Amino acid sequence: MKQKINRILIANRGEIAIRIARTCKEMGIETVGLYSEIEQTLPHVREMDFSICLGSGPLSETYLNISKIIQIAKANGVDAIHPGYGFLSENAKFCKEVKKSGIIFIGPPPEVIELMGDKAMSKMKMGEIGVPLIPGVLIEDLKDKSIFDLANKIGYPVLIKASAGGGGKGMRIVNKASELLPSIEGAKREALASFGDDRVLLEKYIVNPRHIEFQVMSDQHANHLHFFERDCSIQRRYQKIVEETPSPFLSPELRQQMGQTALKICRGIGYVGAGTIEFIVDENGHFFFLEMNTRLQVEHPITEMTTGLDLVALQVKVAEGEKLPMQQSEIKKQGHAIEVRIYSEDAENDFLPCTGKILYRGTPRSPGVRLDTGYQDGTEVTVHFDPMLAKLIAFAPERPQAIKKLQQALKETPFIGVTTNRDYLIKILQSQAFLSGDVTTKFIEQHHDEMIKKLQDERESQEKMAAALAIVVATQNPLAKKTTPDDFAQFPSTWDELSGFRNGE
Amino acid sequence: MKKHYQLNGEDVVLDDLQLESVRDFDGHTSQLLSYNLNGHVMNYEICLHDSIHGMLYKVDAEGPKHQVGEFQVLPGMGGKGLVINYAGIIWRCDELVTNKRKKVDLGDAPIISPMPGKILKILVEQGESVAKGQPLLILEAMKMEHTLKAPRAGVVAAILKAQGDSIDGGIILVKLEPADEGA
Repeated sequence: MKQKINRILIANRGEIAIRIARTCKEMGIETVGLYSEIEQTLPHVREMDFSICLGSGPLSETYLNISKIIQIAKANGVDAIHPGYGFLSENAKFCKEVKKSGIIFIGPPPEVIELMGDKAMSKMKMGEIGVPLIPGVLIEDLKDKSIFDLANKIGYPVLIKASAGGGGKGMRIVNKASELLPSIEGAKREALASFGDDRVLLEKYIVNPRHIEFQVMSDQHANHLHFFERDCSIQRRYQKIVEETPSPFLSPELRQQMGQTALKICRGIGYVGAGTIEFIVDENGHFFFLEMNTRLQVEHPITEMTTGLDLVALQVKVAEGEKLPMQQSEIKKQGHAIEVRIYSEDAENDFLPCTGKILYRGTPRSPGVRLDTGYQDGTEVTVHFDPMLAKLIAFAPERPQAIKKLQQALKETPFIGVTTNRDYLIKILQSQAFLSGDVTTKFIEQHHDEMIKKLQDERESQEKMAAALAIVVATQNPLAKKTTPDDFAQFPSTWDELSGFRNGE
Repeated sequence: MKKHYQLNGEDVVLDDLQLESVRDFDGHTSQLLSYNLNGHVMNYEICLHDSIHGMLYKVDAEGPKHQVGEFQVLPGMGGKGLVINYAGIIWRCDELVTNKRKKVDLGDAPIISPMPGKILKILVEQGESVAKGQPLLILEAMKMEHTLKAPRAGVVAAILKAQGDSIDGGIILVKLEPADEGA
């Protein structure tokens, strides 16, 4: 059944709300956006055709408030809701409620969200379909002595993770038996706080693994396509910070094999919409199903850069009931794309999230660079939302060029005013291990000290320090134009600089 | 002229500082600088495009001036000092006024909450001796658990917050006293 979508509610915020709205604009679709009271001045509010305030309070009252969001959708006559990522994007109840109210949910059917959102259930299903899995089991009872027997049988290190979760919340690596119970306890606590479900899994922990995922898209007519892989091996706190495509590790044969497995999964579960199938690949090229994200992924832009496709536009077309407009053989990839995630966090202090006011964001100026962000000069970074400030993506014909381009783009995007991982990301992109493509999910663990040392050495290097001091002296010189603390209470905008400007003269 | 600075926590002294302000042809203000840093004479020209953006040039005695990079400069947190983005590094700089610097005894520095959040679990008791790196409490912030560890060995003198408390950033959570000598 085909139904044209004319107006979409974007049930999200920040960079992803803006990114979705951009495509809607191109497609001639009106957008209805949301914001909470404290976000009135943020860029995503201005990006929408209509912006509706969700009020104030905890997330459960705003971006996670299903009935409020559906009420807004109905009152504003939207045809469809795009959930973005995070928040309600993988919430089957939300999906059901949206459908019940006669609105299209841009995403898979609720049964599929439910199935793939539950690690235990999804693994069982993958086993039935014949997809390779990492050996593991659901822990039902904390006191059970058989947990120790099981961990011994699988062999340390083992991994404890939330059954309902993702994004590293509720995950623990356990190296020895004495750490087992405290880790399970901590993981259960985090799982309960994050997902409202404290069931955790115990499984084999793979040494030197790579995290390689496949972008898939399925229409309502049982056509399933994949758009190649993304290598997201570089992670801290189990969250990705650098993603690239193609993976420097995959051979054409392995890529083909994993792509076919991804399609087999889509067929096996009757998938519809955009999704990502995450695999863990060991050093010998054996791959195991990790999980499936039944939504648009944070790192989707690198796939868009190398395939030349707009994944949000395809999502909308699929939701309208259209057939996917291409065959698998017509999807080509070209060049190399890398994304880094700029977080407000202190890389030198255990990646602790930081807050503050962005005084100067900066804008990358090279062709082939994309900055997806929900922040601009003068906006506050608060504890209420995720500390990701921006995604910076570079595209070039070859990997080494893409790396250089991204380094330069990072230099141009400092996010002054709040402590960020920007300097640290530059060090990752300069490291020998990254340049050689030798990346595993252990990358940060193995190279962290070395990168921090390089950062500190560089700060102490005579030449750079002297140069930085020269800037200090010159800008503090009363003869130079002086910047005072008051200037940033009223931050200078381009409009202030247009003195004497007359339109039409 | 001699000036004292603190750059990313390091004390730096500039000797023989000379500054000259020049205006270039299109009205921008350039600063010519020369100073002595640890025995090395440095010569720079700094061109400010506006109140934030600028370009740094190195001026050699003979050769041409050459561009060494662009920068952005802004007032620091709370209007204190400057923050500079230069060469892919954020530089935080304060000018130090000599003789007014207070010596801080780190041996008594308390454990401060790094950000707002909720105390999930307190792992030590008052009067307990702790080793350097020993976990003191678990803080939940931004949906993640963060373990605050003892920055040094000592004795827990006071615990000022309770399990389950919601706390602001920058407040004292635990007071740590140096362990008794020979204890």
